Amino acid sequence: MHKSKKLEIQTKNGNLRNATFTIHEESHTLANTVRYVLAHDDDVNFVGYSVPHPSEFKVNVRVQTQQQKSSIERFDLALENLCLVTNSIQDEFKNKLEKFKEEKGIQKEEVDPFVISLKRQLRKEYKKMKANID
Amino acid sequence: MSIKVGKEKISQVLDGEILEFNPNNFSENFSIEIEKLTKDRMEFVMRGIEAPLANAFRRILLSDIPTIAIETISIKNNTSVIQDEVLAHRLGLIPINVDPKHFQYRPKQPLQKQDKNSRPEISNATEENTLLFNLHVRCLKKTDWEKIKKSRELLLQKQEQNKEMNIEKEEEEEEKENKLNVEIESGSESEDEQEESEIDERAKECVEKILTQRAKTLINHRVLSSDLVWVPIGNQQTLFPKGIKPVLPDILIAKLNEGQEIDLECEAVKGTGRDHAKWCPVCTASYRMLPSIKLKKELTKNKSKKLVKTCPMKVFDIEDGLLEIKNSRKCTMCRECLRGDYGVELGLVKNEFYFWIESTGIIPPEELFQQALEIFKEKCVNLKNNLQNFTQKKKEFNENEEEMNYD
Repeated sequence: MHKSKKLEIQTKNGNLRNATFTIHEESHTLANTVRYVLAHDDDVNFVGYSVPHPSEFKVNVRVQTQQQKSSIERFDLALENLCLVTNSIQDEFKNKLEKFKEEKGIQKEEVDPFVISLKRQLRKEYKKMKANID
Repeated sequence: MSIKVGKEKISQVLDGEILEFNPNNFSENFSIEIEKLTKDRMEFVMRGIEAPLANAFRRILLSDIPTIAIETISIKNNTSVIQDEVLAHRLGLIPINVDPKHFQYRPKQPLQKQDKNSRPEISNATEENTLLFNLHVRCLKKTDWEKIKKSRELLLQKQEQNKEMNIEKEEEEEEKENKLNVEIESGSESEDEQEESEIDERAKECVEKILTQRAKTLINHRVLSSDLVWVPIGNQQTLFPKGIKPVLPDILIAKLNEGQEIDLECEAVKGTGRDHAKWCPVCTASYRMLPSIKLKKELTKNKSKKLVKTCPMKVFDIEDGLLEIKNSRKCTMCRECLRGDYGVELGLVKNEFYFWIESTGIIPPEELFQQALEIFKEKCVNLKNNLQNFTQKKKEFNENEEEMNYD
């Protein structure tokens, strides 16, 4: 099966200071986050993103950098920072989840809603049978 | 930096520090507090994170976590009032209680290879990417059903007798099957206990009586999700020894009247919420920012009593003669406190989010959030790898030609 491109980079005359990244199969989920990270980057002069058309599943991210910095490097660094940040979120969540479960004394009960419903139905039918007999 | 909620508009206010994003310091300022955790719902507070990240997780929860739902249906018989397509739509929305990790996505065949005779999606079905379900429900009168049961028992007895007596089976079986079919079609109310001589066609009850007594006199007049029977293919029986069923057994699919039947075969497939909402693993996943309420003025006793009264969520309270903010979290931003001259400053804290995740029951909510974080990381790593490929290609290209230029 032919796989489509994930990423296209458009620059003017190969000048890597200012570049537009066209990312396929992505939406606001990733683009807004990357834009947010790059906006706090001191070496980046300008960053913005757009979704050219809502029916097409792609985004354009525009990055313009300071002197002698490559926009690709900055983009790369931003993605790496995002990975680090999600790692710390994961660790924090795991710790807090374990603490919460210990405190509340939650044991992993396998309460099957299917079985509970069936029991309810059986009880009803039993009552009906009793009524019929009487 | 906080968000100020005014009477008619919302604005951003710089009051002190600008929130900076520093990945090295992130874990120092970040904290999670889990408020509530049940098997279907989780509520927790995230502090030290900003809207783009929180929104990214919410969007992933809604659209990028895979589940399994019914996709294709082969309808053999549908004499119910519910149209085929409506029935198919309803079946697709039923949540199926199986962990989608065990399954792969079903590949779509390329358009070029499509023949007129071949059904493209079904030819790609394997035990690794499909679940089969069967739904066969026929609505009958209870009296008829009992007759059918009895005649079937008699059939079996007769078969045994025939084996012993060595009479030709086929002819008699055919006769009895015809008699059975005639029984089902006629739907008579006869109280005859002689099973084998029933080719009577009697008058049926008037419609009103039937409708009121439907539940008492009919079996299977409601088709529920518990009627979906899993048909294991390949090695699925060993992988799922407890069986696969919908999350809830009493979801009403259709209602039948006497003589109506639904007979169909379903194929369930892995997919994401981005494709169709039936594959969404959450009822909803949402967040709100926590409110920040400040009192800027000193108020007289009367005014403070008024303020306590005006708030419908009872955020304010008077203790020891002093006006206090008791439950700032209950604030719903109704802005009643801004209407009088109470000197209340209402705002939203930009980096505190109250998240709640309601699962449909397939995957527990704490696992959902962890999966969402994993998927977000995968996206970043995938994009990173693509970037590196690009830079490598460019380097190779440029080694032969000019250097990369920076102005």
